[in-house]
Amino acid sequence: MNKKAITFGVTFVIMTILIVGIAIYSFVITQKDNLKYTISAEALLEYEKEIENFQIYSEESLNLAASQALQDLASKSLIEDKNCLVYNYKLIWDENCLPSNLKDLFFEKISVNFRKHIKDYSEEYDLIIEKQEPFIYVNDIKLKNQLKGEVNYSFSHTLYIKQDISKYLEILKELDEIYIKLKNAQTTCANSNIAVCMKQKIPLNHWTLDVIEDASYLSINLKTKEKFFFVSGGSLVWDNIKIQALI
Amino acid sequence: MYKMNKKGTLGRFSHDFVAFIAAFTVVVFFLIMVSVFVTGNNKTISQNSEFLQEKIKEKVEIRNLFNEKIVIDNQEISFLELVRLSITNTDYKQKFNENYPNINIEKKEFCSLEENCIYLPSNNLILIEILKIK
Repeated sequence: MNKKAITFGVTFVIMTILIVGIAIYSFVITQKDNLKYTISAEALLEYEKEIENFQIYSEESLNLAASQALQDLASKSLIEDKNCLVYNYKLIWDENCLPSNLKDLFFEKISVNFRKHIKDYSEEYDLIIEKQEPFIYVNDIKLKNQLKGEVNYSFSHTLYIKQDISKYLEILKELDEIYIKLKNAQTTCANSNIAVCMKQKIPLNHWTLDVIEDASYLSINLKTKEKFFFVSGGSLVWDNIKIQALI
Repeated sequence: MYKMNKKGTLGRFSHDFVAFIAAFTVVVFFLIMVSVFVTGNNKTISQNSEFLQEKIKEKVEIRNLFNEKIVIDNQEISFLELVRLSITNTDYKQKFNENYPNINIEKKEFCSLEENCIYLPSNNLILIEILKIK
């Protein structure tokens, strides 16, 4: 074989290896870039999804916190932190133990319940709850979350929620001075069918009232006409909210 | 004219021919590499764009559902409240299917980006996938 052919052949092989090598290298590098763009798009979607999910979650939490607050009050016969007498597992309403400050108690409970739900979502959070009837505002809900996928980034977002709670306030309003109303009706209805008479004397739009004689007491059973979501016995139920007490 | 040389090795004809074939192979290979790269690139960008558009469209459709109200047991409830009821109670699951025959909901442990999932508050977090069947 002549020398020229050998030189040519060797040079050609080296050049070929170089060109193919460069082509493969550029191909791999660009594919990596493409992968980065794909991952970035996915990360962006993931971020947007997280914000939207948190917004929905917060709104739902506020609704659930309100209905749970009503149930929490009802389950304690509308009495908080008072020493009351009990008969047959039922609390006795009297002059020293009567429902009061229901609206304030309701707001306190909403705040506690809402914070509990937000804590379930994220360990690290911050928020301000304000009331301005008939709305409740949750300002500056700051959530921090570390999303881990192929791209790690820190998630931080601030939300604002405004929720109309007029429905709950109307329901609570009917219970304002309920003890006095019941006592007055009891006196007026003394000489008639007390259960029927008391129901007539206390007209309610959001509650149904049942009065049953129980020993020397009257057993008062109030039940919401509407059903609500609340946690009872560790599980979430959709049911009427009930209040039981004796007078 | 191309002739065999005295040593019996190939002459000028064979050199040119080998060089031509080799050069041709390299150029063709290089062009194939470039076309694969360009097509792959465009396909990825196009797929990304379609994927994003599809996801946004689905999201808007499902978000609109959240504003809907349904009457159950003579009471008006929201779509998400019915979702919450239907995952815990088979009777309400049936009512959900009657109201939304083209929507499937499922309680999940984990959701990928492709799935439309939301968290609902309860005594624990509930992760739900909402799938609109076309």
